[in-house]
Parts: sequence; C-alpha cells; structure tokens
Amino acid sequence: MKRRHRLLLFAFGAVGIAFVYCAGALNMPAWGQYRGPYGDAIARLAVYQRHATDTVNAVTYDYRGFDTLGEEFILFSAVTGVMLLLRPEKQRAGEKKNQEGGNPASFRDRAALSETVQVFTTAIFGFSLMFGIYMATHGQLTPGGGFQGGVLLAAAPMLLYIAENTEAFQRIVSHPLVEFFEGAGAAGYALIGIAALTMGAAFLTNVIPLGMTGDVFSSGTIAAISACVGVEVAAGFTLIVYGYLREILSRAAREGQ
Amino acid sequence: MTVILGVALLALIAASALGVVRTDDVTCQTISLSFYGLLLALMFFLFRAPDVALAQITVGAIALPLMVMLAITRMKHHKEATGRARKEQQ
Amino acid sequence: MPSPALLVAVPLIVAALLGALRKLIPRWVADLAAVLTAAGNLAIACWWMAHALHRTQVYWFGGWFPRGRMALGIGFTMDGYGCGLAALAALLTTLALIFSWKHFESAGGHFHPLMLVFLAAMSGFAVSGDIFNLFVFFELMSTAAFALCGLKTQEPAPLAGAFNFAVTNSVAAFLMLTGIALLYSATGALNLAQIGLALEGRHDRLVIAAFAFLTTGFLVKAAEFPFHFWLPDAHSVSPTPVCVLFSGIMVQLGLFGAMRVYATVFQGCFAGTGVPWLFVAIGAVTALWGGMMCFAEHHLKRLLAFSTISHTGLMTLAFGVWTKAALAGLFVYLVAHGLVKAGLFFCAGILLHRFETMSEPALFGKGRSLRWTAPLWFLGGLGLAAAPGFALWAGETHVTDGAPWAEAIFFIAGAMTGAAVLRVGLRVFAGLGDAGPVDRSAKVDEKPETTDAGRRLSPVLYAPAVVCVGGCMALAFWKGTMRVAEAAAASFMDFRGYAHMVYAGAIVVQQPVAPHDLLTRGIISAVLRALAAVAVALWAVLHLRVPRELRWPSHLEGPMRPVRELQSGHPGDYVAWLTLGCAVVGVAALWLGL
Repeated sequence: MKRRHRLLLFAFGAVGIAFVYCAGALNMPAWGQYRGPYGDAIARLAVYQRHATDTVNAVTYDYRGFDTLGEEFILFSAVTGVMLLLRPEKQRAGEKKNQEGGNPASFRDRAALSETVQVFTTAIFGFSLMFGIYMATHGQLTPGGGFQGGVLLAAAPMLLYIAENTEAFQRIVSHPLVEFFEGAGAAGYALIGIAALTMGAAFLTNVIPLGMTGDVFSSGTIAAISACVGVEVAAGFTLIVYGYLREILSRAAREGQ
Repeated sequence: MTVILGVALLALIAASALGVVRTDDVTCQTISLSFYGLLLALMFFLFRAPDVALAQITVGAIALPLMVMLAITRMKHHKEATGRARKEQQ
Repeated sequence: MPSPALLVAVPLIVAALLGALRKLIPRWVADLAAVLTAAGNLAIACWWMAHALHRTQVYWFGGWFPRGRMALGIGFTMDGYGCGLAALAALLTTLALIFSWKHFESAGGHFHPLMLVFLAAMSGFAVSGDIFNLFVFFELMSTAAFALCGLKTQEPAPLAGAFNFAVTNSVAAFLMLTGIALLYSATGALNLAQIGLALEGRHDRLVIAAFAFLTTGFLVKAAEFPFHFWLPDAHSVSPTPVCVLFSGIMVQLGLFGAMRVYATVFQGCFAGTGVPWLFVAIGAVTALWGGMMCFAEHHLKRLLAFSTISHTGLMTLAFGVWTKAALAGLFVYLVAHGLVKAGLFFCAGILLHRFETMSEPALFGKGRSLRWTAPLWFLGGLGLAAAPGFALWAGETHVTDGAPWAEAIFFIAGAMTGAAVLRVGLRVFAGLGDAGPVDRSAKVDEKPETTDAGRRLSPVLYAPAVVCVGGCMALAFWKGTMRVAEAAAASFMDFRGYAHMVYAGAIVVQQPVAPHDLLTRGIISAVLRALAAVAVALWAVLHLRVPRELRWPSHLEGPMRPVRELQSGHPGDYVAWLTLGCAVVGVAALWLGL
C-alpha cells in the first residue's frame, strides 16, 4: 500500500474513532465530579483493615494484589523476551559465529566529560541506592513502593556508566546473581500467595501480623510483597541494560586491554 | 482554578506529544519523550495521584528513554560492525 | 478441592524458578518440570470443569468478599465454559511441551519459562471475573506471545512478523483500556457482575462507545477481519509448539473475552437490539475471507493460520446467533477446532523437522516416506471440513440448528479450508499432480527449529498429533459432549445466575433437558461438505487433466494478487486497517444499539 493510501485509510478510521469516543465521553460525569465509591470505601477501610497509611499500595499489593502479580510477570516475561531477542550470536543454533576483528569502534566519545559530572554522578550513586531501598521498603507508609524503588535501584548503576566507571558498571550488571534475583523476586511474590493457601486462607490473603500503623514493619504482606517486587524490578531493569550493552561492553573490554 | 490549570496542562501535554512525533533526530526525540513523560507525571500529581506520578517519573521519564537510548546505541554499533565486516570481505 | 489460584500461581512460580536457574539446570529437568506443571494445570482445570458444570463458584483472592454490592478484590468465576477453555489451554500446552521435548531449540533456557507464563495467562484469562484482571492477563498473554514469536529469529527479517504482532496487539490493548476507563467512569466498578448490575440495561452513547472499544480490542486478538493481518505473519515466524498455542487456543480466547464481557456487561444493555448481528456480519466476512486466503496460500504454516482465521470467524458468527444451542455448538466447535488445528500444526512441525522447509512446492512428493504423518494430515483436513466423525460437525449442527441461513457460510468456509489442507496432503504425501505454483509466500525461507533436524523421528513428535486428532474424533462419539456443552452454555448465558453466584458464592446450575438428536439432520450436509473439500482438492491438484473451463480452483490458487497484496507486512497498513475497523464497529454499534 502506498503511503498516501495508508494515511487516507487511517484518517477515515481516526475520524470515526474520534466521533465514537466523543459521543461516549459526552455522557461521562462532568469535570471534577468524583464518582468513585470504591475509592471512598478503600480510603475508609485500608488503614483500619491493613494498617497501611498509603492506601494506593494497600490496593495494589493487597486488595487487588492479584492484578499486580500479573503485572509483575508481564515485566518478567518482557525481560525474558528482551534477553531472548538480544542473546549473543554464539547461543543461536545454526548460525555461524559473527565476524569479529577489525578495529572495534569506540562505543563512547571519551574526550568530553567534565570532572564535575564524574564527581557528582559518583556522589549521588550512593544516594540513589539509599533512596531506592527507602522507597521499596516504605511503600505501605508513603507514596512509592516496590516498583518505583526497584527502578531507582536499577538506575543507580547507570550513574556509574555516566561517570565512565565502566569496570564497576560492568561488574554490577553482568553479575550472574542479577538473573537469579530477577526470577527469585518474581517467584517470591507468588510464594507469599501460596503461603496463605497452606494456612487454609485464600490465595494472597494477608497472613503476616499487621503490626503498628505507621511502623516500617507494618501492614503484613504488603511490605513483604513490596520488597519482592523491588528486588524483581531492580534486577529486571539491570538485566535489560545488560542485554543491550553486552556486546558493546565486551568489545570495550577488549579495546581496553 | 484547577479546571484552568488542568486544561492548560493537558493542552501542553498534547502539544509536547506532537513535538515528540514531529522531531526527526532520534536522540532529540528521546529527550523530548523524556520531557513528555515528566509532564505526564506533573499531570498525575495535579490530579492527586502521587503514587502514579512517582511511577511515571521513574518509568516514563527515566526507564523508557533509557531503553530507547540503549536500543539506538546498539543499533548504531550493530550497523558499524556489519558495515566493517562487509568492507573486509570486499 | 484444588484452589483455582493454583491454575495461575503454580505455572508462574515454576516459570520464575526455571528462569532464575536457567544456566544451572540441565535441559531434561526443564522439560520435565514444564510438562509436569502443564499436566497439573490440566488436572486442576478438568477437576473444576467436572464440578463447576453443576455448581458454578466464585473465588475471591485475598479473601476479599464483596461489601454489599461492591467487590473489594478480584474474583475468579469458575464456570463450565471458562474451565473448559482453561483445560484446553493446559492440554495443548502439555502436548506442545512434549513435542518440543529435547529436540527443540530452547533458546538458552528462555523457552520453558515463557511457555509456562503463557499458560498461566491463558488459564487466568479464561476464568477471571474482573474486567481489569482480564486486561492484565490479556497483556501477560501478549507479552509472553511476542517473546515466543521471536524465539527462532536468527535474522532481523523474520522479526517483522513478531513486530507486527506486537504493534497491532498493543493498539488493541490501548483500545481495551479506553473501554474499561469509560465503563469505570460510568459505574465505578471493575467486577463484571457489578458493572452489569450497575448499568441496569442502559445503552446510551457511553456504553456503546465502551462496547465498541472493548470488543475491537478482543477481536484483534481473535484475528477477525479486518484486524487479522498480524496472525499469518506471526505464524510464519513462530516455532511449531507456539503456533499450536496461537492457533489452537490464544485466538479463540480473544473471542471468548468478547463473549464473556458481552454476556456479563452488555447483554442486558443490548437485549432486543441488533448489536449481536454485528458479530454475525464480522464472523461471516472473516470466515469467507479466511477460507479464500487459506486456499490461495502455499506456505504450510500461513495456510493453517488463514484456516484459523476462517474458523474463528465461524465461531464469531455462532456467538452472534446468541442462543443456548449456538453457544453450546460454539463450545464444542472451539475445543474440536483447537485439537484438529493443533494436530495439523504438529504434522507441519514433523515436516519441518524432517525436510527443513514449509513451502508446498518444495515439499512436493517428499512426504511419501512418512507413513504416520500422512493419515494424520488427511484426517485433520477432513476434520477442518467438519466431516462426520469429527466433533466440529456436532458443534456446527447445533449452531446452524437455530440459524439455518448460517449453513451456507459454514459449508463454504469448511470446504475451502478442508480442501486447502487436503490439497497440500495430496501433493506432499501422495505426490499427485504437479508441485503447484510458486509464489512469494511459498518462497519464505524457514529456518530449522530443532537441534537435530532431518534425522530420526522420535515418537514424541507423533504422540501429540495422534492425541489431538484422536481426541477430536473421540469427542464426536462420546455421548456426553453435547450435554456438557449445553450445561456450560446455559450457565454462560445466564447473567442473573452469574451475578447471583458472584455475590452468593456459588449456585447450582439447573441441568438442561437432554438435547434432541440433531446429527441425523446434519449428516447430509457434513458428508456433502467433506466430498466437496476432497473434490476441490483433487481438482486443484489435477488441474491439467480437467477441461480448461473447469479449472477455476487452480485459478483461485494462483493469481489473487491484489487481494494478497493487502497482507503487505507493513505494520502501518495493519494499524490503518485496525483503526478503520474499530471506527466501523463503533459507528455500526451506535446505529444498531441506540
């Protein structure tokens, strides 16, 4: 199909969809008219039932924790898919080893990096790690939680990469334990659910003592699941970064020798 | 007041989305995508969803542009490598 | 009583552990663990199928029982229809994993975790009673499917199929999410029963827009015209065990999602309107289109993919008829088609393993040495034509019982797809006629997917195909098939009962009266259809020996260029068609529903 025809086809479709959507949206409640009985009920119940001051995390990890289990595994299978598509040539059957040799390209422009950037990024590496851990463990108290904390944790090694501390960066992202933690974090979530089953309760029932509201060790499984998600997300994102940079890093290492 | 603020922010988001689409250079596009993600986070914050805003900052403004950048780096690298190999064969 | 949560949790845990330890555990451990897990799922799903048929039940995760009418958590609704599909998913996954035992390239240990995640997503999708949970499993299914589709991409070119799949299905997910958001704004609920009760039969523009977006999203997965373009592309790059799951159950689950949402949320809204006719129209066009494209195809996997499109179109048509008999017939048809199609894909996998090609001209006459594959292939072809002795026939008879006008479409689509498969069989296994025309799709290069391709054929390659084709025939002869299907359909359609079950915990399903014997009536058309399929296949193969003016089947095979150009492989084209299709569905629903 020619580009013009495609655009024409799409234009007709887009106008139609816009029409249907607008027709539907005009029947929606007016701007600012909150009609969410669920939200009101949860806001009333969560602190009392689950000792969690951040009700959003009470919903994501407890009331609707089963959805989050699915989402956790969406990330897991996405990471597995990325690793699958980016697997190195030698792992692929029926394929000759990729031609190597020649001058390996410098994968970064080495010249322009100010000392300020180097010092600053190294300094906030530690801060970023701390903040990630804090966020993953305090999800039940304040906005945040395992997912956001995990992404922050995974972003920390990238600071080393920016600071050109390639060796340390490579040692972290290529560690075999990263892959183990990715799977273990994901399995941990489901195993917490199974633990409730073995006690005769429904899957993902909050069976851990709830503790005191406002405490770090409160709200039972919410905190535990949040920690598992943090581990899985941090390891998953690190793994993706490694998958993308694997070939480039090994080339850079050879170049350095 | 919130209505005006909300509508203005939504208009800004729409404009920056258009900007992302209309940027030609992929690297610049990634940066504008990151900016667009930040605006979305601001919107979530304005609509009183700080949890979602945090997730949006970490994913939309950090993780997603990072992935795109990594993919671009890898593609460039791959092209260079195959181009070199082809040259040697000739 | 096995907890329904195990259907999802156990495959996920095993998948995560296999992924975590993939470098440490040997291949046979991964094979064994995956097969045992899938078989365990099969056992649990069958147990629930047997029990939920008479007593549908709800299972609340986290023990969050509803407060009044408000569902706090997420519920699985275990009914006959859903559990039956979960059982089919588990059966096909088990067979696909057995097929890939040891021979199949495992891509560095990534294959097994992805298959198990895929299984968990399909099982959860089949029995979920929450619209957002349906969406989560839809996404999980898609993510695992994209990755599995790219499993054997050694070159960037075949990646295009997986890429088109990902793009179109992501657009579908956006549309679904829009629909869910519209419904949530109207009802403040995500539980299907709660939404249905809250809407109370209202069918204003908002409900219709939500219906259009949700339905389009599901129909993209169900590969209905004009949302189907991704499916053949995805099949031609996917490895055989993955094709089995795509064609045998995943596509039909897309349709099932639309059915479940219609039965619970929209049934009351659109009762008495013409909206179900929308499904009849879409299904009829898809069935005929798929049948035509199937016959014109010369790449075995793509040919079978088009036949899947055609048969899913027939199922959509049956859904649009929306009577108890039609839904019972649809259930049998779905299961039987899944088995037959899986059997045919396993046969194609054997051919690929042995001869390393999927092109009909290249395989010409080569299959003579395969004494076991040939009969399975021919039986599969007859099965697709819904010949007597296959359960598709029983299903079709029940659908057309209330809608005799549908018989013509069933006849044409069944005969065309059956004829295409039989034609391939005659050329490959019997070496009749000539090699057939060589076209672009027949030239698609297929990489071997097994580590010892071309060598010995072990029994694990045959066993799954035998089970599938045999199972489909056994279903036709087992007396209980239709009774089970009628019970499942009755409880599936009954929204009042469903809502009562969700809030009361469980209800006893009334047993339907023994179905009347329709088979004697349907047998004539079934025999005729099978004969037509054989005749068209012979005609196409032996076209040089028939008079010139009677060579039309071979013309259908060759020059349909402009129609086949639509299958361009460009994701932009596919999304443009998708947009247009969604707009048409939306405008038609507004017209029919208001």
